Amino acid sequence: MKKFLMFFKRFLPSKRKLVQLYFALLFNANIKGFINGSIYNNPSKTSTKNFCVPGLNCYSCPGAIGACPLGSLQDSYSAGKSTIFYVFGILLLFGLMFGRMICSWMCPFGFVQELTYKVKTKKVKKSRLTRFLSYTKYVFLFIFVIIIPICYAFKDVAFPAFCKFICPAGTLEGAMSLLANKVNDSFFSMLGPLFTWKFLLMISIIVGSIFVYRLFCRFICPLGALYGLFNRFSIFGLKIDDSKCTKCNLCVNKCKMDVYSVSDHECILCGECIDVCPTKAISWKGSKIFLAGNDIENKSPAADNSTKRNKIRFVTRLVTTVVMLAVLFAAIAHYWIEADKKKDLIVETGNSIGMKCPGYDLEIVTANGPTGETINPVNTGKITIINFWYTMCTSCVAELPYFDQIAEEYDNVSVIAVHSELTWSFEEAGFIKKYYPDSKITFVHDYADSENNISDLYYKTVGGKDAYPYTVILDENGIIVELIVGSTTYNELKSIIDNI
Amino acid sequence: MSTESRKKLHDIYNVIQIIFIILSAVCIIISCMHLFLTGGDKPYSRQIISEYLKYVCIPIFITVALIIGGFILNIICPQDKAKSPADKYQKFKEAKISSKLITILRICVFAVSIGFITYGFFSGGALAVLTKAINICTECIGLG
Repeated sequence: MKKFLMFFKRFLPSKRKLVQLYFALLFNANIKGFINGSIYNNPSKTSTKNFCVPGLNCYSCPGAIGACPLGSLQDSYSAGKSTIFYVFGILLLFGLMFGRMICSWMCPFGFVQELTYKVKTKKVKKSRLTRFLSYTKYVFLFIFVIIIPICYAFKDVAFPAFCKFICPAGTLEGAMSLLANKVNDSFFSMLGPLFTWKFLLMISIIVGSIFVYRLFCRFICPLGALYGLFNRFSIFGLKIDDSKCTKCNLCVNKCKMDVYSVSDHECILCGECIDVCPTKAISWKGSKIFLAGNDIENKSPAADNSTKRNKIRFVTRLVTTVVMLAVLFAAIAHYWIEADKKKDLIVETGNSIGMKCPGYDLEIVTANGPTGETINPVNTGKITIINFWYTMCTSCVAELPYFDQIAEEYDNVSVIAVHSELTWSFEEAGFIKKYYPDSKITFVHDYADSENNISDLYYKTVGGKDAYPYTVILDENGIIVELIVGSTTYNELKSIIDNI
Repeated sequence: MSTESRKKLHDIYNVIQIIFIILSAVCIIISCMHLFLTGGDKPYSRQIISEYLKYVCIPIFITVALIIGGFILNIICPQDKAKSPADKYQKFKEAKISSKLITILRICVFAVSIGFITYGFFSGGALAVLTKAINICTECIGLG
């Protein structure tokens, strides 16, 4: 029995692995999203997607319950100064509280890399080259997260360059999860050069993580680069007692990251160096908030033998574990029930080619704002192109000129651009005034079911699956002749119209 | 089994494992590239991908079996851990920051972050984050 217990104990996951798993599940608690093939899309003010999670977790992952801080930062430049302040404030708060501890304890993608590193094979050790390469993530931060999105923000276009060209978390959590579900078969038509590049990059990073510890975290992740700047003064983290430290460097040697010293900007504050230190000079910052001063740090024989202290410690740990598990199960149950409720409320009545498209009176918006007049896309008596878009969607904004051109050239075609209901009031009119003041496109905005917290009802009724842009083409009788998920081109639109 | 023979066994196993990991990755990459280059305007669909899967599933299956085998081998025949070498590289001395300064810095950053979040939340900043988060960012995940 003892041998079995020792064998079992040897292969138990460490506490840090369990905490990583816990946060990976908590930040992706919308389990029903994986089954339904849709993301969590509660548009209310109390929705958890108003807030960013600390680690790298794509908000297009079906399970994600919060926004990605990196993606939100890149989009915030074009969304207005209040958004920049909001996202920046969140990053400052997370950095101040935890520093890079988020990378080692809370980041789902870091967890994935550590799991792949567990494969028993030869590993690439850290060296001068890896230390040099560890600074490349600041280059990625500067160019892809700051410079490129800001340049596009001057043109009022949200362009998340890092997410678009590099982020493997988005490809793995978002694309793979969505495409694996048969409900999203229409998404395959969107796959092209960008997906090929991102898929290959994701495979390379995951395979590379087998041989190189935390390949993405060390050399590419801009979020880690940002959080690393807070390591020295974060509230939680590691500290060295200089009076005990003998500068033996065992901690640096043991560490698999490219650190120069514990708690520098490369340190992910995993705490694996604590046990290595022969003089117990390394300890957790903030440990006194939760524990008596010398219980963990010094491991003095007197403390170890005290049964009362051990009992208190055991009860504290038990209560903490129970509370954390209760929070996790409550979150999963909450999102599961919410997804079930919403599924029954949305009835897709016109979402296939050949069906009659449902109609609804949508309010017209011009450069001067909402007009009070309405238009029903089904009753125009012409070939109708209904394009669902919103100003923060780069692909939507990039293809609007094609619709403008079609509207200009074809008198028998009515082009209706339906803006997402959520932000139309302060974005759409300004955008139209600046870029399409004389356009023949009819700009309208979608409507919502505020009672049940469902936004963009018309979009969902015609089969929209939260992916923008989405284009529905009707003939003169309101029958659907084409459904385009994702971006389209002028030539594609022209050939469809010419064939009607 | 002696230490040397254990080491040899692990070395041979590692080599085979590395070959199959790289082979699997290469098969996936070549299949993806071939599909993309020969597939026309819209190269990807579930049926076509499942056809290509039959070329890559064999090396992936063998790789996964080898990985599992590696774990089992480590249980049955554990390898002795090598001692870590002393740090050969130049040590960078930590900049000494006084604890007072750190406390002031923490208070300032905390106040600024709370101020930013409050201002941003009540000025509609959260709405923009929400709008982006509740819609699938097709370009972020490589779809568009």
